[in-house]
This record gives sequence, structure tokens and C-alpha cells, in this order.
Amino acid sequence: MDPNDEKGLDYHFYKEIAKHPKGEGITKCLSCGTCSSTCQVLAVNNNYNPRKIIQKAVLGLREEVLNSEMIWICARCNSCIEKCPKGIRPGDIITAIRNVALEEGKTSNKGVRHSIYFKKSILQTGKVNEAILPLYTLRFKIFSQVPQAIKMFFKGKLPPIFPKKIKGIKDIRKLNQLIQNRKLKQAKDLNKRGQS
Amino acid sequence: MKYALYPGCAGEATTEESLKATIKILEVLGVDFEENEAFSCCGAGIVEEEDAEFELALNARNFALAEQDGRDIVTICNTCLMTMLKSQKALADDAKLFEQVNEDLKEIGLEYKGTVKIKHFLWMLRDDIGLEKIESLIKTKIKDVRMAPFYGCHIIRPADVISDDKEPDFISKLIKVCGALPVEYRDKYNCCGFHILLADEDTSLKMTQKCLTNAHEDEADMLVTPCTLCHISLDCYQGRANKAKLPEVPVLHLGQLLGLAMGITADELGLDKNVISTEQLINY
Ligand code: SF4
Ligand code: SF4
Repeated sequence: MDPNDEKGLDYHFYKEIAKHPKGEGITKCLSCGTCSSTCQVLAVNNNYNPRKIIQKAVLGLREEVLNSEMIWICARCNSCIEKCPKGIRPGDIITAIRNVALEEGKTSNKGVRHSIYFKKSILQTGKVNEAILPLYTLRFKIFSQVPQAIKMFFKGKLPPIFPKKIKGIKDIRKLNQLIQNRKLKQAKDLNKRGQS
Repeated sequence: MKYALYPGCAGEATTEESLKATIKILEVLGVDFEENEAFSCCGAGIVEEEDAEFELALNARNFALAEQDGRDIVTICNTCLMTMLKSQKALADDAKLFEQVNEDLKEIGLEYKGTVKIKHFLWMLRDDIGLEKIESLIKTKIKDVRMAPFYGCHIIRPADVISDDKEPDFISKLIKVCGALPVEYRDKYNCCGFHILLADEDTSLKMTQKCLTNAHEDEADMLVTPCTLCHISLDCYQGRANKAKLPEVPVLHLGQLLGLAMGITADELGLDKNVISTEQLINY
């Protein structure tokens, strides 16, 4: 069912994005560039451009968009959300694109690993472990952080590697179980309906 | 009014000085507050990228715990504030979702009624304590220091989630009450770059650097922020961001500013933990 054409374009990509509640507005984008002109990341790094990311997604450049590090450097400052003339929340569309990338199981870059670590850590202790987060995200590049870590160490500021678990961590895991079970069931039901 | 204090993951670890100072201020103000050992991380709008339902459940659980104790939630992290308000809005807007979340919560013996209020520490000071009461507690005015407010993003935007003042000015009022000089600072509502610090450090630090450079341009001696995450970028990472080797800009968390003017000791405010020294500007 791959709607890829010979140019490798996936004309249904935008539908995958719009399926996520945050991506619903993608079809209404005028490509006016207001989001880009207010974007605080673009102001210091013009390789990042929300209008272009959205446009590429609409055009069907699926792999390029999903593999790009760019979708992970929206700082979620929400400036664009206030200004988009179509009210379609461009920053949220970037989040919906991240949703799709994570569904695809992409783990190839720092942005994805940063995102994935949050839930992992919460299931372990209930909180985000700030000591492990950089390790998990940056892998070998962690050595670039050594000077910063030394500075923090002398300030007595290094976060604990083994923080204590919150009270009721079992409840958090149970909530997760309930949610995952429901998702599985929903997927099965959808499958059944598709077959009949 | 009774509060459950929600420090956020950073306030409990990397920027524990902001939590320490906030607790001190709450005590001096005589606020009835409690920390809750059962609170989990709010998901920071990041868990939602992988699993939106789980992030919602985390927040609903925290809300239910606060409701159980008859307390409103007060936080010192902008991103926690936004994430909690966003979850609350999602649950208020969608009856089916509300029902489903409560079915799950029932399994762990909790119920979310939708009554808990979620506030930033800054809003609590403004709305529930008031400037007058704060002024009455000021003991030693901080003189001759030009201070710029740095609000951060998630205490303002997105406006449909954060239904508060779009152009807040309460930090300037607090700066004034503390005896310092509030500076009109062009980046007061802008982004510090924190959320991409790990995904793209270079870009993140350029955003931080821009805020620091503009602080010099606008002749601020210091920055004051209500957010633990802005505090990390502006203070902890200032050394790395400051590629132009401009003079350092000390950064105070809001609680530290009030504490200094209320005569609380530097030690009790955790000022020794601020990476950029505040010593040369404030004699304590
Ligand atoms: S501001 Fe809105 S309509 Fe304009 S390019 Fe950005 S997302 Fe599209
Ligand atoms: S939310 Fe993201 S895309 Fe929008 S202005 Fe901020 S950094 Fe740019």
C-alpha cells in the first residue's frame, strides 16, 4: 500500500501527521512563513525552518523529514503558535511529526533518544534522572560535557545518579500497563474491522 | 489557601537552590504548603511525543493526589506549569478522555474531579499574597543594582493554555519592591534555548548567548527568572554560552531575589550553588 511514486514522494505522509491530534491543521498551511519569521531557533540557526519542514511534509518527502535532526530542534517556545494566521499551531505540527518518527522506531539521533529517555526514566523512578539523561542522549559525545560536569561538581550540583523512587511508583507502572493494553486492544479491533 | 509544592525534576536536582529559596519564602510568607513524595514528573510535553496518553495519566494522577489533600498545585518550573495546564485543558475539553482517565485512576484508588487549581509561584505571589504583604516583609533593600526580568516561554505561551497576562510585569514590580532598578529588557518574554540543550547544544547556547548579549545591551547587571529551566540555561550554562567572553551576568531565581531583600541568609537561599557568582553585586 506504499503510495510512493517514482520520485520517492509519499503523498499520504501528511495524513499520517494529521492523524495525530497536534497535526490536524497541516493541510491548512499557506506556506506564508509567518512561523519562520517569529521562530526563535531560526533567529540563531537558519538551517532550521518550520515553514520548510511543514512544506516538505505536505509534499511527501517522508524519509527526509522523519530522518532529519531538524524536527528535534524546535525549542517549543510557542512563538509561532501565537502568530500563525491560519491558527494551525506550527510548533505542534512539529510535535506531530515527532510522534510519527517515534512510531517508526527511529532512534538514530540525539533528539529521539532525548525524547525516549523521559518515559523510560519515569517508569523507573517516577522522575526524570538528570544525571543519566545526557548520557542516554549524547552517547559517546558525552565527553564534550566533561568541562561542564566538572564545573557543576565543584558547585556540588551534579544530580544524583540513583535518585530515590517516588511513593507509589507501582501505580505509575500500572497506569502505563492499562494504557498499553488498551492501545493493543484498539489496534486489534481496528485490524479485525479492516479484515471483515 | 493550601498548596502542594511541585518543584519539577530540575528544582529537585540541578537547580536545587531555587527550590531551597522558594521553600524559605513560602515559610516566611506563612503559606500552608506541603511537598508530596508521591508526585511524579509531569512529562514535560516530551513524554507526549512518544505516548500522549501516558503523559495525561501522569498529570491526572498528580492532580488527583493534590485534590485528595485539598491542595492547589504551585510550581517553580514554567514547563511543568504549561504541561499541567495543557493536560488539565485536554481533560476539561474532552468528556470521553476525562472518563477514560478516571477509569484508569480508579484502578489505583484515585479520582480526578477537575477542581484543583494550578499556579506558578509568581502568580501565587501576585494573586494570593499581594505586593503589599511582600513589601511589608522587606528588610534590606538591594540598592544600585539594575535587574532585568526573564519570564521564559511557558509562563506566557501558548496563550490558549496559559490564560494569564500575555505581557506580565509582576517581576519588575517585585524587583522595585526589593529596592533594585527594574530594567526594560528586550528578551524578557523570549526563549533561553533550554529545551534543545541536549538535542543541539550549539543552537541552544546561541539562544542563551543572545539573551546574555542583550542583557548587556540593555544595561542589566543581573537577570531574575521564575523558572528552574531558564535558570539552568542562563546560569549553569552561561560559561559555555558566553563565546564572546562578555562580562558575566549573574542570575537569580525569583525566590532568591525576594529572600535577599527579606534578610534571609545567602546560605539559606543556596546562593553558593549559583554557577555565576552573585557576590560582586549583592553584599550579603
Ligand atoms: S505561519 Fe501557519 S500558515 Fe504560515 S507557513 Fe507557518 S504554519 Fe503555515
Ligand atoms: S515553537 Fe518551535 S517552530 Fe515554533 S517558533 Fe518556537 S522553536 Fe520555532
